[in-house]
Amino acid sequence: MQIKTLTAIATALLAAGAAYADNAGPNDAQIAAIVVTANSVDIDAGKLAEAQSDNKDVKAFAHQMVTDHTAVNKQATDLVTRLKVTPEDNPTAKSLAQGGQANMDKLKALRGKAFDKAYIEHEVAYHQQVIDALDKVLIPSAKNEELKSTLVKVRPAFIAHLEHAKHIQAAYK
Amino acid sequence: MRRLFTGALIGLALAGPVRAAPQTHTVNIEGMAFRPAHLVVRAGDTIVWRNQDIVPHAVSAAGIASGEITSGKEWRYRAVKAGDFTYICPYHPTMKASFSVKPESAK
Repeated sequence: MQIKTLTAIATALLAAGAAYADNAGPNDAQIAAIVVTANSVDIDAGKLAEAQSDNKDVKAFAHQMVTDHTAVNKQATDLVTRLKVTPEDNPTAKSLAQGGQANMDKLKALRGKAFDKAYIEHEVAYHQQVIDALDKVLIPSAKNEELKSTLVKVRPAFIAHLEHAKHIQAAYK
Repeated sequence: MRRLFTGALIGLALAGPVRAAPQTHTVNIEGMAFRPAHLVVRAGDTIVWRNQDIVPHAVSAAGIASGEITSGKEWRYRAVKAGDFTYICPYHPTMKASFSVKPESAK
């Protein structure tokens, strides 16, 4: 079980609203850093799963995570570059990166079905938590309209990924 | 005037059955969905899928494969064979839609 990792991510994302000055939530530069880190964490896990899994469904899902989250990161990076916003590191982004690294460390020690199960389980939890963070913290806090609409636009991708991951997870129960 | 009208009628009769000009139909890919989810076209018409999402998508059905359609790009398909086609995005199993192709002469 990877309760520790999941708890770290959940705490990082859901506490985001309380971790900033006068509880106003993260500013746009901090949101940019959170978005880029959240995607990067899933790209890293996806690359590992693509290389390490022997299951075709898990590999295909992992490949899709790398493709989609890379596309989202490119969009986010292009936007903040155009808006002249420099992503600003913050406690949420740091916790996400640490949680992602803990997940990688755990996954690297696993093989076969145990790896697939742990990877998919984490993907289900991760996508659910990012959706919660988008709804409760990131979208409501975003000030720039283009940044806000980009966050709204990426949300359905996280929903589709969550459903896809849950579908695969059902095979491991 | 009457002669001209009669001439026009004969002209039309000689031309055979009137065929509607081929049309182009658009399916927008947005919010991880194909919109509209069902489309009816006539053989000879063209369907254009436009990817308005951030992530890449594709259109895949029996005998139909678009390959990757990246954000902001489109893929055109000329519907020739009549029938009902269900298609998916092979990258995102939650995305399903369909289109029907009516024979060219059908009304």
